[in-house]
Amino acid sequence: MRKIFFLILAAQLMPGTSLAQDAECAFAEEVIDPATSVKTISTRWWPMTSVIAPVKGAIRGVSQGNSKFLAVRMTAHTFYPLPADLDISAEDTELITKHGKYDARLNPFIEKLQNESFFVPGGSTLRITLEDQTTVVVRTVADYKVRSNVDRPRWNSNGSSHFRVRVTAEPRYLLDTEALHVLTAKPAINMRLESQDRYYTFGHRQPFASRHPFMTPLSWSEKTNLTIQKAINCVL
Amino acid sequence: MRPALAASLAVVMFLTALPANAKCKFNVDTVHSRTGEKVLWTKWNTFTLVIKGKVLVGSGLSIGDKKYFALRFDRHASGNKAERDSALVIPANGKLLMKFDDQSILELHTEEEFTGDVEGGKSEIVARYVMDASTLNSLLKKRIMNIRIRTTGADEDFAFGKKGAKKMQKTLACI
Repeated sequence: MRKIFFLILAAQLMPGTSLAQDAECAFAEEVIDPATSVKTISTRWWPMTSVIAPVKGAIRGVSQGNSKFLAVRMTAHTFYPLPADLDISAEDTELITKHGKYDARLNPFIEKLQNESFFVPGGSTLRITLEDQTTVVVRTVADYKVRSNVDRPRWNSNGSSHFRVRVTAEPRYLLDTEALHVLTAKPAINMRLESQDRYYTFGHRQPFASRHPFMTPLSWSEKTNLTIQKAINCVL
Repeated sequence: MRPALAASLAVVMFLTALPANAKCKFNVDTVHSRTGEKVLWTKWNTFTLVIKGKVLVGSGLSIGDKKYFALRFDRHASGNKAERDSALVIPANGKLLMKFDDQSILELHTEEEFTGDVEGGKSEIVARYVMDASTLNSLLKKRIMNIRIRTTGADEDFAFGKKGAKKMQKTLACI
């Protein structure tokens, strides 16, 4: 029994052994497409941002056949003004029920947002800034739908109103040879994800720190800089 | 010269040179991910008075043997995504005009196109202008009065105070 224990321990400590690598990489999914026999392997989700970050996210490496992808899970709050032609007042707070159902008057507006704003189209960019301030731009090769929850409308003191919308997306970005080389060579300090109607920034903006340091999306630690390298290395 | 005198002169020179080097702060001190060249970005410094409204922030950048003057500023951006994306663009070979106190004008150029990053109704741009040895020498000797940045929209003008001009020279001296 003792011998077996020490043998396993030795195997785990040996660098380069598959046992040690698997423990580090922590693969979460392995799927084989029955039609094409193409195998897809995904690492676990590694969080890239802190709890207080305005845009929260996680990344994973994905290997699908011979192609490699970087998948990003993003959750953020965005704001949209209420449509001008919607006849509602500040007292009308039941447009969205506690169960998340929208008032009939609101449905067309939400559908329009979902179809025209809340998605990541094919060809959208993910710009990754490396430690040396160079950037790598990778793109989606398919459309990705965004899950969204709309909060109750809020009225400002000047009479204007807006919705707060919580959006969640999980787009995948194709990594070509150049991107694979550069992203595994250097730590990344931030990422900017493009959706149909706006950009979402993850990570700190150093050294281009804003004049208003509290307004910057400071949302990942220096330790996290290595996460992208780690995730990609796992699927190479 | 006597050895003792030469030694004490060397010590004095070392001590006077020390504070200037110690003041150079770098935000990036690494090697380039593709070329392996040394990359240095000095700490960003504000050159213009914040109370005057428009703020211009600058940094000295060196990549291998090449030197750049990097500038950062923002502009209001509104409309749809495409309109916001094009609110602040500096084209490739875009001009930077610098006017000195002797009324001479120096021209720097970008190597590539730069597009502002839109966030919270503003587009913020970081543009890099190439400097050769003689340009850098002029910038370190003469007092700068104004800067005009050519963008695809309107030009952006920034006036330098005495303090801002000195700050700019100190920043560029670091590279």
